[in-house]
Amino acid sequence: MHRYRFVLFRPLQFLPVLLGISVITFILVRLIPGDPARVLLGARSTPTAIARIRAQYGLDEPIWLQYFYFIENLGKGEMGKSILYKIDVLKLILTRIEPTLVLVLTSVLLSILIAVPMAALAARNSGRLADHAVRIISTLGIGFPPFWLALMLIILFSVKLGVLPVSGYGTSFLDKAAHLVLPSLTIALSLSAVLTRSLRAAMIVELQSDLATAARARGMPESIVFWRHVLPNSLVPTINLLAVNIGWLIGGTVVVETVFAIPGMGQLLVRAIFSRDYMVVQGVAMVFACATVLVNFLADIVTVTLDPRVRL
Amino acid sequence: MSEPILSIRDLTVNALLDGETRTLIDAVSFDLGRGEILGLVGESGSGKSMICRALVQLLPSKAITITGGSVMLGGRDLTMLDEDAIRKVRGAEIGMVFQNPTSHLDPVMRIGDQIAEGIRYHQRKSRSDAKAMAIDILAQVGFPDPQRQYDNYPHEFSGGMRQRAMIAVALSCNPEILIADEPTTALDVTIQAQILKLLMDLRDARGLSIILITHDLGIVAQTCDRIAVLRHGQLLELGDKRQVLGAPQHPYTVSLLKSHPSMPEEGVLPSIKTAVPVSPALPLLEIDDLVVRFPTPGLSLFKGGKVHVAAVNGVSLRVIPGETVGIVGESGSGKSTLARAILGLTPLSSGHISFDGLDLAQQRRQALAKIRTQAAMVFQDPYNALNPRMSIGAMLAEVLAVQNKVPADRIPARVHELLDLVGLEREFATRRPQSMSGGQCQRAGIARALAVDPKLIIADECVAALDVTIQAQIIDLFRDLKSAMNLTLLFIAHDLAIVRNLCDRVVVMYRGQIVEEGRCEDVFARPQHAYTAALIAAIPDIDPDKPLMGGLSVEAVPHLLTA
Amino acid sequence: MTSKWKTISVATVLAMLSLGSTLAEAAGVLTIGRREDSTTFDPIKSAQNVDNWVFSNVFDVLVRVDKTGTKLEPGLAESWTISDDGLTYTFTMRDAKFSDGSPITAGDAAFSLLRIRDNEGSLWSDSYKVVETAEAADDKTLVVKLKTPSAPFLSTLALPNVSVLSKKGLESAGEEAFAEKPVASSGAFTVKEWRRGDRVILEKNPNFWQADRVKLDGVEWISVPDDNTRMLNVQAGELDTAIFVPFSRVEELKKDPNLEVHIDTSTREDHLLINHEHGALAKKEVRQALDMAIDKKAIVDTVTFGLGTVANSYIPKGSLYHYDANYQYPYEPEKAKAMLAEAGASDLSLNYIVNAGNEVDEQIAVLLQQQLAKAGVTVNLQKVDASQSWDMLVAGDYDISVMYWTNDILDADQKTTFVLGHDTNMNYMTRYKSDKVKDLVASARLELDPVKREAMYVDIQKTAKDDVHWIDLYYSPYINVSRKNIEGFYQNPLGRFFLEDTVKN
Repeated sequence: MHRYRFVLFRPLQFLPVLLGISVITFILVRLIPGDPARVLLGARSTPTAIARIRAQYGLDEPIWLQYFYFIENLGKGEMGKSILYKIDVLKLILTRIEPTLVLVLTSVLLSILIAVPMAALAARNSGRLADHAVRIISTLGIGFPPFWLALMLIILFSVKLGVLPVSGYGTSFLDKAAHLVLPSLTIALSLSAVLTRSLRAAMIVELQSDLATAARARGMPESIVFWRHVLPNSLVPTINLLAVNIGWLIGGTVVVETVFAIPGMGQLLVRAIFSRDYMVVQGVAMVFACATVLVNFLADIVTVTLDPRVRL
Repeated sequence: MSEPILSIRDLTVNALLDGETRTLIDAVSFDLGRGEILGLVGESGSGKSMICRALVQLLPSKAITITGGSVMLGGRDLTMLDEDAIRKVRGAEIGMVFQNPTSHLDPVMRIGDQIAEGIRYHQRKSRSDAKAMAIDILAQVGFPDPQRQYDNYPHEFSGGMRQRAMIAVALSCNPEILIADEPTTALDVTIQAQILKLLMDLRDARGLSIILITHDLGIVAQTCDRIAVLRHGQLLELGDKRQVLGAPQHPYTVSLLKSHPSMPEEGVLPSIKTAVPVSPALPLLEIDDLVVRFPTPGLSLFKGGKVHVAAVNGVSLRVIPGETVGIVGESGSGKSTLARAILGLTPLSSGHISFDGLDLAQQRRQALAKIRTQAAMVFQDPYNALNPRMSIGAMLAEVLAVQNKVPADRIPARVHELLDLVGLEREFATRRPQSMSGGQCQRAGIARALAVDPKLIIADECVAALDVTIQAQIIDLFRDLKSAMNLTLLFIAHDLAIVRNLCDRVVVMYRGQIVEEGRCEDVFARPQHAYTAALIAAIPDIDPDKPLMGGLSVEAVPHLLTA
Repeated sequence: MTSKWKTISVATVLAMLSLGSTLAEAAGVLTIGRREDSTTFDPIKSAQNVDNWVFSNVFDVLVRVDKTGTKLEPGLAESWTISDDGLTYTFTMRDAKFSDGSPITAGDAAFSLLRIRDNEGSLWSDSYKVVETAEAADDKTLVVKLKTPSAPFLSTLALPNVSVLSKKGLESAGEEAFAEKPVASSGAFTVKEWRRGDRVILEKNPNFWQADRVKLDGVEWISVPDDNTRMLNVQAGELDTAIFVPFSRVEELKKDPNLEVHIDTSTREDHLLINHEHGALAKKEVRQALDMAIDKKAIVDTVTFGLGTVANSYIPKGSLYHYDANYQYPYEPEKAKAMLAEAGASDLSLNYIVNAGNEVDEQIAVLLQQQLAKAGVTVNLQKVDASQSWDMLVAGDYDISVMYWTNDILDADQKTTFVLGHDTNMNYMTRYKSDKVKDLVASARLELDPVKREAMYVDIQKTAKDDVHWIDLYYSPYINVSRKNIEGFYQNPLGRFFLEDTVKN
């Protein structure tokens, strides 16, 4: 089992990565022109009021000292106080993390459920009508802007057919499920297009590979050749593509959460950026960074599991 | 010959490419007797693999189709069967073993499951029954611990064991016929002998009928009952092994036999001997107690970090100008690492290499500069070693211009001289690699090496990828160049027969060390080390009466099976 | 599985899912879709409309602004008297209870007033610095002493931010917990649940002193940031109402027989800021020429789809002291050009800061660029993010820029002070200087006689117009939409929703 030994040691490498990300987001968010105190006070802001708010949130300290406090807080498991919401950032994030997490997970799941059969259909009928159809659909899926796609889906399913809610997140399990259909479909239509393209290409190569020939030579029917030999061997590059796309996926949730009014981290981030709520931007960025690192870590574990040759 | 189990008549396979029909297999007819091993011999492009794939309708492309003839097995014509019916023949009646076990085994599926898969599908056995049967087969093909090894993945085995696993997969459904397509070409010579022995044992134990496809007449001589010689999709000669080898009818068969490296060539060897300088000249290359270590992959738990494996471990060697030294050994013996170390491509862990008096460890920059201008390498794969976008002439001109030894206005003339030297027509100057054969590419590769006007040429397995007749031509070329230009040549090969025919001195490497070194004829006649003896014995001799392994038992060979 | 069965099972799943979503709705609960979610329930810690508009439903104030947005009326204070020197205010408290059943006392009112002045986290302390002391003479009597007379003081008490909070409730829960979920509310509704980022769920406060007036069982303020989605929600009947209807959608929504579009007067005024410190802009004639070069009617027609009205004063139409007869510069680009030439500014080139991503702002910018070009003025558009543009305006790093203002209180003093009173913000970043206006603003603040005060404001409006401290562009209304079954959904000019009068049929 020592192929999995990296599971123990890899997390040690996360620390410097996350520290680096914290420095970058910390500096970047403060480089954007604008002042949280001014946003908070609105049109009636006076210099004295602004100075008071800045002092209250330690924004008048030198930037390196602010960073020091930020890291000191992180060490204590805190992320500072939101300027806009006046509560602990970690607490704020915890109230917003579930919808995003659920949205990303269902979107990924849905993407895989769409991509695998589509890619299989295309690869097994390579060069024929089904293949062309899948390729055209994938190209469209990548080409359509998600916010437009989202509106079209709402108009069709919620306004015209009235079978699904327009927006929101819901409370009970069924309610949430109903609210998640369109948002995750919106993301999945784009993401599955990317996955389908990669998977289709890998499958076509594997279908003509020696191992497929060998399986056919021992009398295996095409279905077994495909699902048991071609598919597992095509998955590894696609898993890694999925991991690489996690950043894009997070960007996608920001748009989708806004269009579908899902109270997740993406919306929180957008509003925090416009309000220059530094602490929240840092906090959310750290959470997204952790998620990205974690997803890639998981992808490595899956890769090692799927392909016994891989050692990390 | 007993009653044929498989009867092929006028089998014709055509390919439709760009609207043009080409005949790949031209009305080939032969029988396979029950319990017989039939050798299908030919060079690449002869159609020997295509025939076997046509038998079970596993043609590589939809553009290639069977257009005529019949393949009779058990009263049925296999060419007439539909997809469902032929699938029941594949594996269950005709098993196949392929050349490259690494690519033909599913890397992400356990070895045992790949065997059990066919059993479950063809024989409708339960999961546990299939597993028990698969373990039994693993034991039959020589896995020492089948119970445990059932759960291992292909990459966890050596090449020889992988090929055994492939054979196990092919045998899983008890086929009567086994088609082995170059089953040992990718293997080291001692492993090859074991696999061939395994095939013969299986034939005896199970009464299998085997079609053995190979380019090596030595293998055919040692294992087959009958031989079929193919060229350009046509059957040239078919007959009993002794008859074909002893009294070949077709001129092509004669030339194949002549170019077999195990045939000692009269009249050439003595002339080489005189070329060896008698006086102890200053060595061009001197290697002293060289060690090259690589860290093992993966993170070590312990302080002090990584475990190192010595790929080259305490090698000392002197090469005198004008000498041809052969370095032989099986894969993993360290011979390629040694070559890379000499060219400064891999760092030395300890010891010294000095080239023309300059020490690679101490005067690294000067020594490297000297090596770059005075040593050249010829690579194994002639296609990949050449830039596909450059014509041969441009490539040679570029080398000449960089070397700056020949004045610019002399370069075109020099390119022609080089082409003359390696036996290529001058019109090749305008050709690109993709329009050339493997042999022609390798000649171009040698021309590029010569363009450096080197004192030393290192050839790393430079004929391993070539057909046997082309191999012989390239060896001849080297021999001619050597006598004409007083080249110093370091010739690395796993094929002892080739080394024997070309080199003055041979160095035998085993697990990073030199186990034996000496003049070629001495080493081959009286090997001092058991490993050398085993290596020599494992060469399939073209004489069918010289038994494989020279009577040594397979198990006595300290091969790399466990590595 | 045949395709028929597939269809049936898909339909079943969809049906189950849609069932799940409809269960949540209850009768008598009004759902309102808005852009953003609340940020806090501590009224002193927010200056955002999203919060203030909810505060008005949850908390009550001593003095309220009426539906027209022009008059004060009693709230929790039943009545009040003002001493002759204008320094002492005595309020008589109404018999009212917090939602937890405890009485609302003068002590609570004093506590709330002093808290907004003194609390470290208060964003409003500057506005209440005028308060010297606030004491409860008894449970029913609140006495407030001012440092100086202040005409607008009473109207500042109508701000939702100075709502009366339960002293006991806030202190026992702690500030942070109270901000999350106020334990005792003095208003028409109580906070039942706040799902952060999603919605605020209010339910009727049975102890509200006007509980009889409240018809709704509850209200849900639901955040739907995307304008299109918010409108679609109302169209699909999933929301009863939606606020912030874009101008461009009004015509289409009006055609929907199930919907009603509400166009309510607001105090919003959009204006063009001018940096008086930049070169030729310091000259009054140049600024007047610019005013004449701008076709405000064209802007109203194009940008607000005719829903706005051309502005003639910084005090919006319908607000207290608005001077309707104020001068309006005519649109005469040729004359403007001549005036510019006369002032030696014929090749005027202006740097225009535009809020990038704001559709309306960008439209105005393009229009103004074209109009000013006709008067020979070159305008360079510089698009920046909203928070950044604010910084640039404060720093004086601009020539012109469009901004807007909405009033919080009905008195004109607040805006006038910010815009013309030479406050610390450089007269709302214009760097306008006029000692005459400065003095007028200060004395109007102290003048307690409404008639004299109105005359002073008329004077201020005339002078400001003549000086062109900025260029008034247009006033625009609140535009909301509701389903036909909703009645009495109304917003007064200061933004307060009268949900106590709203009915859901």
